[in-house]
Amino acid sequence: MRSIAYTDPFVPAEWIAAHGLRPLRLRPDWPRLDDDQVPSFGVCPFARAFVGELKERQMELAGGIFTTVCDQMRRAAEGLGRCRMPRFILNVPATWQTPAAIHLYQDELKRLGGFLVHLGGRTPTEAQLIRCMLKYEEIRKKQIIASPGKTKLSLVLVGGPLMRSDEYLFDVIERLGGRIVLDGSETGTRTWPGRFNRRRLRENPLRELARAYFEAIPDISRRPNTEFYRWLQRAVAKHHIKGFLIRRFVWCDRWAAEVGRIKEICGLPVLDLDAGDGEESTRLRTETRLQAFLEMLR
Amino acid sequence: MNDRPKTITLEEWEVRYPVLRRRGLVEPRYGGPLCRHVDDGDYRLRKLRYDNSPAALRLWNFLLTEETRLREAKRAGKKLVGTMKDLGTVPVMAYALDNLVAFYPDGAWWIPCIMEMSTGMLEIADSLGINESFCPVRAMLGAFVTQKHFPIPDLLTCSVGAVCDDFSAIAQRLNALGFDILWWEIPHRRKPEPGEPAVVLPGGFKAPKSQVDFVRSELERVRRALEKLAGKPLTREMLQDGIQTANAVRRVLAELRTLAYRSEPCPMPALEMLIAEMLAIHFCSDRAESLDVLTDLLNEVRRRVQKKQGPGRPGAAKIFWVNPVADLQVMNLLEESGGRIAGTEYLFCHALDEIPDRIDPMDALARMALADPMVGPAADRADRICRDVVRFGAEAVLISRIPGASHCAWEGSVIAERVRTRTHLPVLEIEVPPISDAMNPTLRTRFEALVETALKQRKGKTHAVRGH
Repeated sequence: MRSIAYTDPFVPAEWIAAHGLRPLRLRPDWPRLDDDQVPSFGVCPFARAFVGELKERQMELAGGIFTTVCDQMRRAAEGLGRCRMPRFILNVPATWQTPAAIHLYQDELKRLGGFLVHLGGRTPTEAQLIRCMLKYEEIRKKQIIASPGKTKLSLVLVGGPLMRSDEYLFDVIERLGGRIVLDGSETGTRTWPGRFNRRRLRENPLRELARAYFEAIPDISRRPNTEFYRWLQRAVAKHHIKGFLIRRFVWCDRWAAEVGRIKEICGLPVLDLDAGDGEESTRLRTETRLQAFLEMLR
Repeated sequence: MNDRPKTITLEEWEVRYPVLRRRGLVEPRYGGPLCRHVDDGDYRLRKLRYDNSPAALRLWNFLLTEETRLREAKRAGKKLVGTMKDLGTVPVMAYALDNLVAFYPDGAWWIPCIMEMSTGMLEIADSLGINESFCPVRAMLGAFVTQKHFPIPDLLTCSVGAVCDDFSAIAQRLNALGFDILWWEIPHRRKPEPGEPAVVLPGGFKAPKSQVDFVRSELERVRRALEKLAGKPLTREMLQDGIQTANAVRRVLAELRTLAYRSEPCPMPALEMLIAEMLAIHFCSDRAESLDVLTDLLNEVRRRVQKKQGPGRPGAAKIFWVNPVADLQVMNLLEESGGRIAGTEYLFCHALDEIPDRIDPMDALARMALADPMVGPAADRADRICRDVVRFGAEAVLISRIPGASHCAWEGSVIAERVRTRTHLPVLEIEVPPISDAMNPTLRTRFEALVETALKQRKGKTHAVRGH
């Protein structure tokens, strides 16, 4: 089965799978800095890593999907340069309070469907789409969510996406006596779609798919981004949280601009972990800062 | 009254101004000697070089009195609309209502430069978590907090979607401080799919009709908000009038740009032309006066072109400039380094193209908004730059990156590569902070290298033509 790579949570895996293609949500590894076709200064390391991985794996991938959620990612589609891989830019509106915005998103999913068919996929029947949606919902339900240990300091992680090798963060935190009880990073559970409403699913599965993604993901890029803060406040109320970790990449304006506000709103200690261009230097700095933060929380 | 064109310092203007007055210079009510703005804190003016014409004096005075004009409008009972990000569309709608005045709070990005960092605006932005990793437009936050540089608008609009993350994030921070914002969406402009109904936009880009319809529906929301603020309907006829007046400004500017960027010697310096182009976006808070100011400048340029006169050195290297600079002094520096402007793309070329006036006005405005070079692929923008490079006969292209801007890193390299491939012209990228004094030697060296390369290519072409 041919794979379609993407990284943004607003790309529904179910929609790709229903077209008979394999959705591959890439979590790239830290980028090499020797690709002279990709500028290094000012470019988000994650966007550069995603482009780098698409280039490296172009022979095995049928296509790549970018979205407009982040300006750097939108422009990264052009960063693929002369690479011949078919690419698609999914328009995801920043506004969300008007019916026109969700209609646009739904139309974009239809257009994405055309792209997938062009790459060898097949247009799904409603029954096929419903089957895919229920299957993916079941998979999400089975994902294990960490529960706070009795002796552990409960933390919430928020921020942009994590690279593949950033999993070490969870281990380091455990080693230091803490535990991430809620992964609110872009690659975590915060960006999961909402539950599918069974009645609406039967009536119009594509519309329900669009609703579950577009209306339910409390993304920081939304204008206004009030839903993210509602989610944040619910998280604080639900878990016995001792502190917040914000993990963001340098040059990511969306998260950088919210650090101050998160600190104001959550009323708990917050550690702002900015990840620079190099994996090693970032890792060393991050570990030292986590150590100090958890010591302070004790 | 006109002497030979040249660029002069502020001190030289101090001497020249009374002479012009004695000779009978008639000024609008915002007129006066330029040096008075320094007393208001516009310290950067002391370091700039200016065109010596009365038309340029009027242009500068018009620009530097915008805040006074806005406060007067507010006192007179007019409602103020702060239009953020869209660069040229919403003001056309707002000015169609006679009791509204629109302006761009984004314009605050030049305040740290003009006032030489004396306002503490960037420090306020820092304190709100918007540090130097963001574009200088973060100064806008400081202006809202201090309420010193413009009155707080009665309505704030901001286009989002396919815009730079810096601006969107800063506007969101502003919103969180308690300033209500009407967000309206402008999607990423894409190429029409095969068989999909398409529309040609002003400037030549193509977009799917569905995208134009979507933007139109978003602008209808803006329209309703404007009507509510004005307390009266914004009719089709009013919009048509608004478009016609905007087009009158754009036509004057189009002729001005053609003459200024193509004539030899260059009849108007880079700095005055940059300011003139900016008037097209929002009319500097007085639509009728902006047309008069530009017409005055155009007449001056026409006279100079006829006499084959200009303030710049003859034979200067023709440079096409991409993106506005945060420090205005750098425009002077280019000319001091042997260059001159031959074409520009200051991020708002869509505000220079005439708005279609034979179709439904809301449809026309939607088309204009979608023609924004920033909402589409960088390759589209690069193609337009290539076309204009040829049209204006530029010999080199200078891309001025905006510090911290989310679009510049990816876009700069795409534009540079495309321009090099298509035009075979030398391309230089620079980055200019709001105060660039410490970088001046480096910038000058880079400009001189670009000028030298462009002139060498020119010489080579001349030889080739003769040899032929």
